[in-house]
Amino acid sequence: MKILKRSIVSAALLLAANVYAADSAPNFEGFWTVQFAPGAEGEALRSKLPSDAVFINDAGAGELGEGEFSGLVLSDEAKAQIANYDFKDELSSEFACTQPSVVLYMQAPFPFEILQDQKLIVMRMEYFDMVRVIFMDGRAHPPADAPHSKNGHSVGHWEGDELVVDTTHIASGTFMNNGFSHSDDIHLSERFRMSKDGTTLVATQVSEDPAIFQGKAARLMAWRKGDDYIYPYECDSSFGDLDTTAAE
Amino acid sequence: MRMFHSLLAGCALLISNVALAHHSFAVHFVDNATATVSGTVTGFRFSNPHGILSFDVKKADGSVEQWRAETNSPNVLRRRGWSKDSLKAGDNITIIGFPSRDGTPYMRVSKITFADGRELIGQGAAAPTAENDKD
Repeated sequence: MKILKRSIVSAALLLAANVYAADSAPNFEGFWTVQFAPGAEGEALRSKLPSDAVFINDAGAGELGEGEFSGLVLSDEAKAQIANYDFKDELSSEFACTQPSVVLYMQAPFPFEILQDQKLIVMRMEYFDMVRVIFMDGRAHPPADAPHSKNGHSVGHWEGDELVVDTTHIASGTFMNNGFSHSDDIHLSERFRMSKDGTTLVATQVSEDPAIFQGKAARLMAWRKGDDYIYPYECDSSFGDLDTTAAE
Repeated sequence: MRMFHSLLAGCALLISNVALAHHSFAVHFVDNATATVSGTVTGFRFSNPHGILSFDVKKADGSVEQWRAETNSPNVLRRRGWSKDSLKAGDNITIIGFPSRDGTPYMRVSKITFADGRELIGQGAAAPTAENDKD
């Protein structure tokens, strides 16, 4: 009985703490547009990255060329993917509208909108019209064999004024635009922080995917408060099959 | 024919050559040089992931070479004033762009200039802002 009472009290305290944290959390709502320079806010967040993480400089203004992997130690599986990859296929109509996973689309150069509630944060991405849901109600991830999607399953909580998000169940997708994909087992840890004046949002992303690379890979992203809308993306899978009479 | 390639490494046009997203810019296009090509538009499709235009380039021997050029994502270009009607068949244009690495007549648009002097800004520093200039 004593244990039950203690559990109830603990649960109540935890719930109260979460409600308090959500109540006092910064408001990230609005439209955000990519900002190439992460600024002091971004660098401060970058300093919190695990010291053993390999930093991938392909967000913002960065991009990696063919055969460049930022020092990531790739698995045999990743190397085999690269060996069989033909970059010319990227210009095919089949490839053109393949949805990216959350791993890649978070650093894509398109605006997105954040809608925020105590129990839920939604990110409406302009890129590929993706919609990302982050559960803030304390739920756990589903069982490992639950369905995977390009958005994955995200749960978040506040640590002071920073939003910490953990994502699993991400369906395989392009990892860094140079010939290999992450696996279905990739695990994503993100941390978001807004500047005090509310004009800049920065985030770090840490990926772990032992089937594809050793250790941790990290990215840093930044956005500024942007336009009050996002456009529909409406990908056209006929990319590359230009009908030259179309403009006549 | 009025076609010439100019290697402009470090040129002021090249503030941002990045093009992440659906395919790698760095893999497909020379990112430290531009080419200038003049021709007549034969087709234009303004849809994601990239707009595509085709154009005929008249060569010195009188033959015609068919070129294609891809643009940033229309979502990016709409914010710079582009629309599906920005280019029409028969338009005489000069394109400054990033040439294909494999030497094929394919390029990524940085700027298009019409015969009457009007300009369309694609990827590069000539754009109002380097932000959002990646796809």
